[in-house]
Amino acid sequence: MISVHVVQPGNRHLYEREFDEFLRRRHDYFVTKKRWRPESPDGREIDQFDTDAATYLLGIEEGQVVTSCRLIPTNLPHLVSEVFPNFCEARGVPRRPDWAEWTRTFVATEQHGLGRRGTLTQLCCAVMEYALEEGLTAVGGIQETYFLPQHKMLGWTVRPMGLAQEVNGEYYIVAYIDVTEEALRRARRVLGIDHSLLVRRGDQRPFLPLERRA
Amino acid sequence: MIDADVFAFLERCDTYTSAGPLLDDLLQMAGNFGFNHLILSGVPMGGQRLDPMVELMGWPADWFERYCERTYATVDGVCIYSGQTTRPFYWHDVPERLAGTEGSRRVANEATEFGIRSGFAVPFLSLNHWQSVVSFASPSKDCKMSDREKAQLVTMATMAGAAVEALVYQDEYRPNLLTDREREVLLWAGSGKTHSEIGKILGIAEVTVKKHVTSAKEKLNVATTVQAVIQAARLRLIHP
Repeated sequence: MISVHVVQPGNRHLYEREFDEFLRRRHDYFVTKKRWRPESPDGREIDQFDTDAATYLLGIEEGQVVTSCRLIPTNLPHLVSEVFPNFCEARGVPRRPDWAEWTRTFVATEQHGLGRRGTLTQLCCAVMEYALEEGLTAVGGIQETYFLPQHKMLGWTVRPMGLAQEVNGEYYIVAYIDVTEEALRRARRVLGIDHSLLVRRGDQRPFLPLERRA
Repeated sequence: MIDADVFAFLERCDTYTSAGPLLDDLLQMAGNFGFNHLILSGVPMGGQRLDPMVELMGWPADWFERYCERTYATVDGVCIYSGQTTRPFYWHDVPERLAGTEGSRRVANEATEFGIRSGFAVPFLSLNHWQSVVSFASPSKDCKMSDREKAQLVTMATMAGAAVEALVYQDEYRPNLLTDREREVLLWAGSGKTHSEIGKILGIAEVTVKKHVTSAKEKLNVATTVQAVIQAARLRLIHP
């Protein structure tokens, strides 16, 4: 089982090696394999949304970063609002601090990533746990339609913001998932665990601005 | 079809508590695009049997029977390609190396007897099979959709597929599916040991080893020992 570390500007210095590995893994996947973005000479993938507003979840197993993702409040510029707003024709682009955009999900393929209780499910469980702890009400973003069943399989409520659309032969969809106690319970039941997967070291900043928290 | 109909369908998907009514609903929606049959199934790999992997069976019954009986899944280019791509595709776009074989041509020809002449397939991630697919069949020689219609159908197929798999497997967390002995035998089989070698290692008779392997295959719903090892690893019952 992975441990999922919450990385923000305040504690990033504790994760120099892991964060660098994360950027290189992103480059392997999103540039070399998927060709979403141009090659970067230093072999690290960074985009305009990697700002201090981002929170990263790094899934670590036996000292290796085996999975990761990035969360950004949707009231700030994010991938869907800036690049893919046309994917939200039916329900509109979400812009709420308590809705987080979940992007740059990566799973190391050699880690039995996609099994029912595999690394991806573990990451999903950790995202739900983090979102719940931080008082968020939804997480989501643009994803390949192919992977959508992962969330449904966990018994989560998935809300598409518009129709799937084709980009270079692959179909993508913008969808958000309700953050609830029940969703966390279900993910944990699938994994057969009842403990937290999150690790918080060093300075942590709340995801929601303090005045918005209940 | 207008998008509102698509979103109304997506909402209905979550309300079904069994697969049958969902199949009828999806069939009716697909009818708007000229499709009159569909199947939703895990994609059989390497000689696996198709019938235990089918979640929604909306084919003509006698065609399905013949397809399974003659193990057409092993030669049908559409079926094989469904396990090789993650992208939705028209059947007529299946690469020639798969669609052009004698076996695949025969399957396509025989399907026309049942009014199945063309189609469109939507593969999606499965946590229980290698991957799953919804395949829509049309009686017209060359089914066509606009980009908008394709987007609507892909959206509905994926969400319906996800809903069905969630229904079937929601409470299927079964860490005790296999006995300790069955897991042990599969682990050794996975490292390349024969039945007789495994018997010697564990100090049990070869026939007992075979009994454990057969029982594991039945529980995992697979045909061969290799498939049993893979499936057990996917379910994280063993860690080879």
